[in-house]
Amino acid sequence: MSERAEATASTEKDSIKFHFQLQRDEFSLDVDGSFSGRGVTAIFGHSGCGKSTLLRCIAGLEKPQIAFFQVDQSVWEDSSQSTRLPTHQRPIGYVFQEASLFPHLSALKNLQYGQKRCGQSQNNDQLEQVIDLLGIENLLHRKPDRLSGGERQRVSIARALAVCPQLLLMDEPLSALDMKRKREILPFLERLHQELAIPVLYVTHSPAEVRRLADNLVVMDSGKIIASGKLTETEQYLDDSHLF
Amino acid sequence: MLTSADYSALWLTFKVASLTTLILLILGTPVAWWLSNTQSRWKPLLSALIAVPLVLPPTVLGFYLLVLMGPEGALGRFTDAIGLGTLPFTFTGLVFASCIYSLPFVVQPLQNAFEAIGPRPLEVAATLRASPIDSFFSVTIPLAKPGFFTAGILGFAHTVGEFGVVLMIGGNIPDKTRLVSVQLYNHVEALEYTQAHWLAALLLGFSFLVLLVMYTVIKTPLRVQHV
Amino acid sequence: MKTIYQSLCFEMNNPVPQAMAALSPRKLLRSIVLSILLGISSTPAFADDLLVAVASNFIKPMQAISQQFTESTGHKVTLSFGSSGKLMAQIRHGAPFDLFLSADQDKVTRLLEKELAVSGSEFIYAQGRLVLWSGKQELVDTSGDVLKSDKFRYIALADAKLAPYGKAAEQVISALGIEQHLKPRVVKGENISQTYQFVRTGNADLGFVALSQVQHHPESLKGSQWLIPRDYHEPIDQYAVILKRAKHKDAATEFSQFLQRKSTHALIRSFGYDLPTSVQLAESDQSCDYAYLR
Repeated sequence: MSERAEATASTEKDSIKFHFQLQRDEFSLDVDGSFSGRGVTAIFGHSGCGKSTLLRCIAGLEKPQIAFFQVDQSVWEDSSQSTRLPTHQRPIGYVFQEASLFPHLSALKNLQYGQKRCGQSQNNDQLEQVIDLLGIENLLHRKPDRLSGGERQRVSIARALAVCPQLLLMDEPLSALDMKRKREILPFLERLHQELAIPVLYVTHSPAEVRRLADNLVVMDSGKIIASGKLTETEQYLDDSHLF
Repeated sequence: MLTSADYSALWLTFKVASLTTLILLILGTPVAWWLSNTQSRWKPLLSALIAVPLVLPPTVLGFYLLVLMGPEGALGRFTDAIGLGTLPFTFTGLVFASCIYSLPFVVQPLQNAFEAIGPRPLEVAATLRASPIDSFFSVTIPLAKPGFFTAGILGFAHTVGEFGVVLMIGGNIPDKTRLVSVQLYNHVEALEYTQAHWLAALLLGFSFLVLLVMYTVIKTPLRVQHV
Repeated sequence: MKTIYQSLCFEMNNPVPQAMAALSPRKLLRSIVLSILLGISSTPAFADDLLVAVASNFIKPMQAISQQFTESTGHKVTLSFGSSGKLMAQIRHGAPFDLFLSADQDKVTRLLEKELAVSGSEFIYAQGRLVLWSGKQELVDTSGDVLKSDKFRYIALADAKLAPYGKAAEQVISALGIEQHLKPRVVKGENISQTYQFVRTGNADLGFVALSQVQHHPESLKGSQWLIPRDYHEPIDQYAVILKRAKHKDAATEFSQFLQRKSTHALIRSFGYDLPTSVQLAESDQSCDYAYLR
């Protein structure tokens, strides 16, 4: 237990600090800690442990009773001060479990939806870079219903990146896909890992994905964080059978 | 065949139904939106109020509108105070009554359409920097388009078929409040069966056409049972 | 029994189901069958069940009359109310009425022409009296001068094409030569009860309504009225006739005679109706019936 407490303690370098308490009928989330401001941090745990809820709290999609969230020096939410940025004012990119593309817009229009709204509409280089990064040039003029599941998820990742986020949130982006699609997308995610300068919070229940993509690991169980730190220091939790 | 009075009634009906549909789409949208999103304890109350015209016999509804809009009714006093006079026997009054009468036929399809969209697309829009109002216009309305189509057509068709209410508050004034359903009724009552048959055939053909278009274009079953 | 009357009345007075009933008599039949079934249980087995179609304006007197008739003869009477036009449409399409009390003469004549009614059985059971009535005190004067004035926005009358009271009202208007003055102010009720509602709710300042209506609602007397003299319009004769399809012709004839009895006439008058002098026989001066008006 003392080992775990030690692992949870935040380090000086972590630039993302958070504290959330959320009480619902059958479920409570009570987390307090920090993330590294660099690389990919995997939030790991079995389904129902609260990892997606934590991500939604960070995005402002939930309203916890107690909330504090800070990236570098800017506070996005502090319930003790009654400050709260609504979701659309938070500089985040969010990739949902299902691709959730707008069905009435083509792939390109989906990308431009967010791009136009974050003052990046002139920045076509950025958009081209994102399109290139995810290899979706040939898909741009199709409607979502003409895309495969893997293609849809790639477009939706590109869409999240097109808003130039300061923080990328990914909620089990592969879990809705079969093995073949997963293999199709994983190389793109690895490229993201290598080429993106922004921090990524990556929710997953797959130890394989953690090992392949993550630098840091946060382990959750029953609405609480039970371990957090560099992957090299916390990797043993991935094999802790009761967690998944 | 059809007399000029019949044509005038048809044209008037078209005007009333178009205006009513337009007003209801504009007013019904925020109401339906609120109903589809709220967990307020007032929601059942508002839903029930909106659905009342479905169960109330139209003549009964018409009678109470007549009382309410009359010089001694609350609404009548209000419209009189703001210089509109009282509404019965006027075109405005007819449009107002039609709006109440057809309200559930517009609000319910819209509400169903909004509910079918669910919260996810709006959450996505928010993470893409769209404010709630922005996402309402850029996401909700395009996704709810079939609902708007259904609501518009049902509202229009139901207003065309409106009878009891018009009978009660119209006063049967040619070119002003004599709608086609009343004209048809008058033909039947006056035993002018030939003219009645022509008008009825026209109305029947119209309703059939409307429903045919609707089923062809949207290809989804209607969610409102009471057609 | 009263509740059955009421349920029937309700159905009859609601034009939408009614309009449907006019197209398919099934719904009507169902209510009739229902009321007959309910009624049978409380009547002696030897008595006939009379089914009478009655114009809506005669609801109140008819309920009183049929009660007296049942008390004195043992025959049960089931009443079916509706506008004369609708009832006639139902009769033409096979409704099993024994007796038809129309609000006018025209429908009865047509039924006789179509040989759906027993010729020679028709008679005037009541005459309507027309009143110019307003809910406002002192608006209506006793000579109808208000009609020529600008003291009102809307005047209600029944549609002349549909209701005999409307036809009479138009005759009064043309007798006074004020058609053009009234034209922009006229609103029309499809029947006389709707016309009354227009005035009663204050939406129309005044209107030509039936004396029986004003008399039936005591609060109406608070307003002002002018009882239109008989010679301003053709009499509003309400005709009754026995139908060919009648299953109980004897009882129907008995009821016809009952309707024309002196005591029944007095009852009818007390509801605000008139009766033609030819059938008044030796009854007392009727003017006292309207004493309360002026």
